[in-house]
Amino acid sequence: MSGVSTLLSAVRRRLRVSDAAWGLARIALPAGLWIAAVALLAVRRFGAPSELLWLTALPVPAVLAWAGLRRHPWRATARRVDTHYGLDDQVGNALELARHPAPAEPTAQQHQAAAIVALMQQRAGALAADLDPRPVVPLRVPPPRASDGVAALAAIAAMFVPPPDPPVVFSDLDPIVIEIDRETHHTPMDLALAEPLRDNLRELADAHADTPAELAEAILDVLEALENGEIDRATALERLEQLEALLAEAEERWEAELEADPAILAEAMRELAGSLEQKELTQEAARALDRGDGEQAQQALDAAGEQAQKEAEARKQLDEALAEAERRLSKAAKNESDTDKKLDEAERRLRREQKKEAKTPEEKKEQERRLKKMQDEVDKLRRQQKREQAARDQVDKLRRNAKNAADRRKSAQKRKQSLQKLGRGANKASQASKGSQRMGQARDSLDEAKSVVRRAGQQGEGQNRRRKQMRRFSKAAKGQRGDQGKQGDQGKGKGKGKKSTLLVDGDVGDGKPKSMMEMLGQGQGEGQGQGDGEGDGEGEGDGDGQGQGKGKGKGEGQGQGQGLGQGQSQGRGLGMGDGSADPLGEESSMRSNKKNVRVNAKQGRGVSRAEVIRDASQEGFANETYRKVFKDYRGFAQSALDSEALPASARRRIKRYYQLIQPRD
Amino acid sequence: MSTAITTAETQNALQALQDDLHNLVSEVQRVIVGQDRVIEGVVTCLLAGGHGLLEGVPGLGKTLLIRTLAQAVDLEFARVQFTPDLMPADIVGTSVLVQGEETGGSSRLEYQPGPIFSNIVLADEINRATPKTQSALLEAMAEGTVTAGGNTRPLPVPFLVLATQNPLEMEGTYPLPEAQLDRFLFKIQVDFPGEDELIRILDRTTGSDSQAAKPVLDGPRLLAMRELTRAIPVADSLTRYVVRVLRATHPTDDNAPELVKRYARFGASPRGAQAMLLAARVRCCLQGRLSPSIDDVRAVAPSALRHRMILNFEGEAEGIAVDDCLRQLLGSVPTD
Repeated sequence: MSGVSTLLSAVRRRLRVSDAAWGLARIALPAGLWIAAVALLAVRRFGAPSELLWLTALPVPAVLAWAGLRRHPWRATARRVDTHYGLDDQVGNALELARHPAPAEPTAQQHQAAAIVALMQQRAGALAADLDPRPVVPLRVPPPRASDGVAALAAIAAMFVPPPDPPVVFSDLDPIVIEIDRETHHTPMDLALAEPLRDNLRELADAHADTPAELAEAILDVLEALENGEIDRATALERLEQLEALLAEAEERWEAELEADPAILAEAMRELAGSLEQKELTQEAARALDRGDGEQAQQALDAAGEQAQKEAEARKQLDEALAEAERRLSKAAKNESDTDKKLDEAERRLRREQKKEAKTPEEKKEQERRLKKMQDEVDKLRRQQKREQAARDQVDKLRRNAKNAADRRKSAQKRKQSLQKLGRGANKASQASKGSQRMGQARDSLDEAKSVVRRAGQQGEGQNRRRKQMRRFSKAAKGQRGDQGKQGDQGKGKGKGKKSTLLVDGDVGDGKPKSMMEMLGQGQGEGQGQGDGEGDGEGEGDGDGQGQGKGKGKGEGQGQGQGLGQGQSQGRGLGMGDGSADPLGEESSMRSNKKNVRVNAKQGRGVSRAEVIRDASQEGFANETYRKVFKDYRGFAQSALDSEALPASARRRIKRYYQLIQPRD
Repeated sequence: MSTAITTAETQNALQALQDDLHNLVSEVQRVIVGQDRVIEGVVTCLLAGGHGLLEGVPGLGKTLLIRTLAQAVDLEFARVQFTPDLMPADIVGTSVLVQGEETGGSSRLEYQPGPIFSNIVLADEINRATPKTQSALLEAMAEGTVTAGGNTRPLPVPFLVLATQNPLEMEGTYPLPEAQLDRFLFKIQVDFPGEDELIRILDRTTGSDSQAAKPVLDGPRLLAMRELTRAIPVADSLTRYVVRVLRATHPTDDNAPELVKRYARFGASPRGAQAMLLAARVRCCLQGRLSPSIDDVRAVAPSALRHRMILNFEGEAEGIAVDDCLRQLLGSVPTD
C-alpha cells in the first residue's frame, strides 16, 4: 500500500498547488485589484494614510494559507484518482477497506472477505505504481475573466483620481502682474494713513500662496508706486480697477469651485469653538478654530482625546464639551436661509417672463436678455442652495461625530475614532471658511486701497463733496426736524429726561444740530454724536404698550471745533420699539354681558420680512423711492469711508450693513 | 501462511466465478440477440437470489430469455400463463383424492404440487391474474415456502420467480400491489431492439438453424457462486452512499431532488437498499473487479428502485417517469 500512499501524497500536493493557483487567479487577483482601487481612492481623495495600500497584498497570503490548510481527505483524493483513470474505486476501496479493523473471531465468510481485501490491496498497489499523479490534477492557471478586467480598470482609474481640491485656498496659476512704469516721476503722495491697510495686506500676502495673497502684493505694489511718485492717482486707481476685475474673475471661479457654503461652515466653526472654549481641556482647540487654524485644532482635539483616555476628569470635561458641541452644531445645521425663498421667487419670475410674448424684434431681444439674466440668477441660486445643503450635511456629520465621541455606551476605540473624525471634519470646514474669509479680506483691502487712493491729496475737494452729499442725504431722509437740543459744553454727557435724551459722547463742534431724532413717549436715550453745525442723528427706541420704554439714540457728525464738553440734550426723535402689552387692552368697564375671545393666529413657516414706516401720518408719506434714498445714503457712507482711516473690521461691518439694507427688487 | 493460502484460493474462486458468469452470459447471448442490459439484469437476479419483473411490450423475447436462462443453468423450469381465471391452487398446487392399490383401496387426500415447485418459475403476464392469485406468490417469493392444506412445504433451492408484464394493455389487468412489487429484486425494462439487433433476430429466427442453450451451470454451483458473491467486501463509504440514495427517494429527505420532492408519494423500502448492494456486488463480479464502486450502485439503482417508488397524483397526472426522478436523484446525491 506504500505505492498507493505515495501516489495519493503526490496528488494532494498537486491539489494544494492547484488550489493556490486557482485562488490567486480567481480570488487574490480581483480582490487585490478591488482593494487597490478602494485604497487608492481613499488615499488620493480622502487623505487616508498611504499605508492602506499594503492591504492590496493581503489576499495573497490569505489565499496561500487557505490552499495550505484546506483539507483533502485521503478517500476523496483516492476517488479522484479512480475517477480520472476509470478504476471504479479500486484504489479508494482498497485504501478504505485496509483501514477496517479485523474482527476478533472471523467467520469463514469474513476470512474470505479478508482475503479479497488483501487481493484488492495487491491490485491497488500494482496499479498505483504505474499511475502518474500529474494528469490527475493538472496545474492550470485559470484565464482572466471580464470581471477581473473591470477590477483592473477600476484600480487604474483610481490612480488618476485627483486629490481633493482644497476648498479653502483658491490658487490661480496665472500670476497677477500689474504694469508700473517706474521711470515716470510724479509728485510723491503721503500715504501714512494707509499703514494699517498695508499691515493687513502684508499679513494677507504672507499667510498663503493664493490669489488673495497675490492680490495683496499687487495692491502693496501700487500703493508703494503711488507713494514714490512713480504713478499718479489716476493711474493708481486704474491699476486698482484692473485688480478689481481680476479679483471679480477669481471670485467667480472660486465660487464655481465651492462645494459647501462657507458662511454656514464658518458659523458652525464659531459654534464649535464656542462650545470647546468652555472647558479647559479643549480650549486650545477652540483657540485654534478661532484663529482659523484647522490643523492645529485637529491636533489639539486628538491630544484632548488622548488625555481623556488617561484621566477621568479630562474624560468628563471632554464629554461635556462634546455634548455642548453637539447641541450647538445641531442648531447650526438647522440654520435656515432665505435662499429657498429667493429661488422660488426667481423661478416664478422666470416663468412669468417666459410666458410673455414679445411683439416687436426689439422687445424680443430685450426679453431674451432679461430671460438670460433671470436664468443666470436662478442657476446661481440653485448652486447656492446646493452648497448650503452640502454645508448643512457637513455640519450634521460633525454633530454626529461629536455625539458619538461623547456617547459612553460606545467603546473607547469607537469614541476615539469619532473624535478623530470630528477633528478632521473641523479642520476641513475651518479651512473652507478661512478661504472664504481670505477672499473677503482681499475684497475689503482692495476697496480700502481705492478709498485711500481717492482721498490722497484731495482733502479740500473731498470735504466739499461730502458736505454736498450730506445735505442731499438730510433732505432725503424723512422725518421732521426735532427740537433743538441743548448743546453741551463738554463732549461727554449723560442725560435723562421725560422725553428722549441723547447721550452725547465725543467732540462737540460748532453750530447747531440740524436734525434730531424724535421718539414718542417717554424714554431714555443714549447717543454719541459729533457735530459741525449740521447735526445728524439716528434714534432707536423700545416702547411698551403703556408708554414705558427705553430708547437709544445715536448722532453722527463731524466737527471742526476742539475741546471736551459735557451737556445734556433733549429732543424728540423717531424710534422703533418693541415690548409687551396686553393685546386686548384694559378690561372694559361697561356693565354688559361680555365674553373674551382668544384667537390663535395661524403661523406660517419661513422667514417673513416687513418694513414698517413709523409716524408716517405725522411726518407725511415718503415721496422718494427707497432705492434712491438708499443710493444717497450709501453714497454718503462711502464718502465717509473714503475720507476716514477706519479699521478694516469697521469697514466690513459698515459694508455688511449696507448689504443687508439694500433694495431687494 | 493460512491467509496466503486463503488468498490464493479466493483468487481462484473469484476467477472461477467470473469465468462461469461469462460463460452463462455468453450461452444466453447465443440464443438472445442484443438485450445485454436485460440479460445482465436477469443474471444479477439469479446470482443475488432475488426475483425479477420484466416489463415490455409483447414479442421482445422476455419469455425466451427466461427459458434460455433456465436451460443454461440446468434448473427445473416452469411457466405459468397468468389469466384472470387463474386460481391460487393452480400455482401452488392442491390436494386431490387418491384411491387405488397404492393406498390399499382406501381414499386419501394427496397434495399435488403446482408449477411453483420449480427452480425457475416464469410468471407470464402476471398482472392479468386477480390480486388473490397474485398474492399466492407472496409467501413463495418472500419465504421460499408454500402453505397449502395446512402444511408448509419448502420450495426447491435455488428458487427464482421471473415475471413479465405488458405495460400497454391495461384493460382487464390488475396492477401488482406494492407489497408484492417490493418482493422483486429488480424491475427490468425491456426496450425495443435497435436496427442491427432486429436484423440479427430476423437472421436467427427465420432461418433453419435453431439455437438452444446448453447447460453451463447447475444448482449447487449456482449456490456456491451466490455465497462467494455475498462475501465480497463493501466499503463503508459505499454503504453510506447506498443509504443516502435510498433516503433520497423519500420526498421528505433533505437530499431528495426537486422532482422527488414534488411528485413522489412514497420512497423505496429498505429492501431497495439491500437490492442495490447485492446487485452492485454481482455487477462488480461481472466486471471482473473485487469490490463494488459507486458507479455499480448508480448502474443498478434504477432497476432496484423504480418499482419501489410511488408517485403522487400530480406525478401520475403529469406523466412523470420514475426513471426521470431517479436520474435526477443519482445526479444530486453527494458521493462523500
